[in-house]
Amino acid sequence: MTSHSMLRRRVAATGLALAGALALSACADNAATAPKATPGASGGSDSGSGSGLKGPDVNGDGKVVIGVLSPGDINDRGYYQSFVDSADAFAKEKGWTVVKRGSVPPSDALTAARALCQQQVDLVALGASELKTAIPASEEPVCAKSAWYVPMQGNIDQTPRIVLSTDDPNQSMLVAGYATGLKMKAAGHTKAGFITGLKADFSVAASTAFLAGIREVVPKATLTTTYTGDFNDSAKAKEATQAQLSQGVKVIYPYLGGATDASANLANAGGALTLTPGTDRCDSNSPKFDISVMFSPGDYFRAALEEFARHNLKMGTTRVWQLGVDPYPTVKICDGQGDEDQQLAEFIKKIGSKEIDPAAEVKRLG
Amino acid sequence: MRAAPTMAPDDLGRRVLAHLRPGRDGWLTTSLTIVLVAVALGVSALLLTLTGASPSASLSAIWTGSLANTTGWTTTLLNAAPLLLVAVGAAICASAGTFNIGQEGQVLIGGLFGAWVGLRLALPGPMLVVVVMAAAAVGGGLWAALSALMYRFRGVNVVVSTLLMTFLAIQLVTFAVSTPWLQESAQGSSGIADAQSNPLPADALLGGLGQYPSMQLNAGLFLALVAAVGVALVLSRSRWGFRVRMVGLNPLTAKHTGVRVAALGGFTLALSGAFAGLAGGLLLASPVSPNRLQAGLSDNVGWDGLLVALVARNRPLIAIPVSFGFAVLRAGGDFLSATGVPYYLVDIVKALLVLAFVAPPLLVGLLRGRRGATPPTPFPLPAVPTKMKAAV
Repeated sequence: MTSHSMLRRRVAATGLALAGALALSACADNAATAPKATPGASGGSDSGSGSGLKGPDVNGDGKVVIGVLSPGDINDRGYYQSFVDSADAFAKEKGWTVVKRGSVPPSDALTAARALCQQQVDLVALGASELKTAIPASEEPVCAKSAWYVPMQGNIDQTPRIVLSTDDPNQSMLVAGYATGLKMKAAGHTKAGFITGLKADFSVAASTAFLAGIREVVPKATLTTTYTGDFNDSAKAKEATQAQLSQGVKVIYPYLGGATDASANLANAGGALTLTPGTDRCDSNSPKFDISVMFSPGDYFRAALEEFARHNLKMGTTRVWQLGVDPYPTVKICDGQGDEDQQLAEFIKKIGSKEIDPAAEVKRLG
Repeated sequence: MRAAPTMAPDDLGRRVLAHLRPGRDGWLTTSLTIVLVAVALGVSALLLTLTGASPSASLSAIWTGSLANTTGWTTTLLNAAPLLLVAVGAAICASAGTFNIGQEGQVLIGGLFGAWVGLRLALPGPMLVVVVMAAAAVGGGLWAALSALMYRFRGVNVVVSTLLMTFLAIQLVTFAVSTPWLQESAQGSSGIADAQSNPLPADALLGGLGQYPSMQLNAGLFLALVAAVGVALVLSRSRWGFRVRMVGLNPLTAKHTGVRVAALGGFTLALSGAFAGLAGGLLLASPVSPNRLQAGLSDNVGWDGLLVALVARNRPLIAIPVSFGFAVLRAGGDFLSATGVPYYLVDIVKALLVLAFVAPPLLVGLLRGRRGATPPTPFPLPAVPTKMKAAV
């Protein structure tokens, strides 16, 4: 037997072994390797039984430093910026320092969080739940002297080292859809558009709830959803907006980050109604928004900072923000006509009193 | 109609690699390097000042984040290991005259293979981490081998195909973590699952080799160091290494001496991909990442590792300190950006330093060409695809 044929046989044997391993590996599924849930996360306005911090100067170095990591553009004049603005404004009032880093990819969140802890920050605040991969750092020695604040959309398990803040996206998106439906009914429109970035579970759920809300008022309404793949890419957002306008869409919801204004400006030029993705921008003229959908993480964060300043921010707890009960989340029609404002207020009230179950409505109409 | 004379991209790749070989015009290259590094540092300081940051404070932040304490050292060493593996792989195929620039994609595919095996195969104890690493290397190797096959059978340029395969790899991994292939099981009360895999089980993770006292030394670092020393020895001392270098220096001569040039070139490309894939496995299984497959797992390690190889002029042993230097920049850069300095400035500083190290030999080559000196390498090459086929 020549050395070449022996080599070929060895290569073939190795290939067979690898193929076998891969075939074996296909037998299992994701559920088998899913991490076990940590007890503690639950509903209610304030859940858990965490311990209060001794003070905002958690590490006792004589100064208070808030570290913010955001997955998006912290100058997007929307969702991500609102978080940083709240931190800046509150820190200014209290004489604290804020260090912030925007556009942190989820894959870099862990090392970015460690770097913040090395800076001896007293509170590590994640701008959105996309950065949840940073949370394991809260258990590491480098972060032992830092408190943690994490916004979530029900997709993060509670740990004793973090405080979670959440709302029910079904609530705000259903009401956003309802407000849009009121406007569409008045104008006789039936086509709406939803432009967002990545096609992920949360963006699909938001789109579904938005459509359900519209159909509460306009049962035959249709929704065209476009996933551009990037929340901050203005060119892709404009391309998607133009495509939707060409299809006769009369309402465009730019559920985006840094690309929001580019999309909204084009929607304005095309005569379509627009909504805000998280903040109140009824006063804005360029772009002009018709409905403000407020689930601003900055408002939630400010409330948490107030508790932090009062030495009352409890790690290991979850704060749940209820539409119709708390000031946020909420929805506002910028220029309500007739009884639109009243109808919207009644709908919000029914959700707050649990007369309407948003999840059931989304399932029925979405 | 007569075609316009063009330089094939492979020819370009070989010329670049030829200029980056060590030992040419030593004193002139060294002097030029010192000058350009000084210029790069000066420009970096200017950029920092223009953005409102203090250069000295920034330097201090990089120091604090990377070397000033045990946490910094741990982060630096964790970053150095995958960079070194990528650079060692790049050095192997560069020695054979092949310019693989698709390491970023090969790292990702390595991570994909490693995650798939790590999450689906129920093997006991340390055997799982070995299989994860092996699968990652096989994944990266197979991905690079596709480029070798494209070149072998269709003459597709290796530089172009390895680069374009990177974008395909990104899409493939994004798809894998967004679908039931590998997407995580929903956590919490919402039923929402993010576009990432479940975390690897503890048995699939590379363990630390102790705390000294709070500095963690991960097994991946030793794996990378052994690989660098091993490859350096094989390339410089073995018969196989001699053949590889001969193919790199002059494929025609190699062919005439009986070396199967195309096969060897393709194999070194696949081997280069295997090292990049191994780096992907390392990223997946070491504490530098959240131990999940994500679309951004590679985090520019492939590109940075390639730069390490370029700065080290494709010498595996020199790649050790160079990868350490790049790791200092990565670890320090994270710390620096936590002080409010935009992270992209760190990337600019890195790019300037790479240019300062890579440009001198090319400039010296240009100077020699203007003086009418003999061309440094035996180019032009023969019409590669057809003659290579004949050689096999």
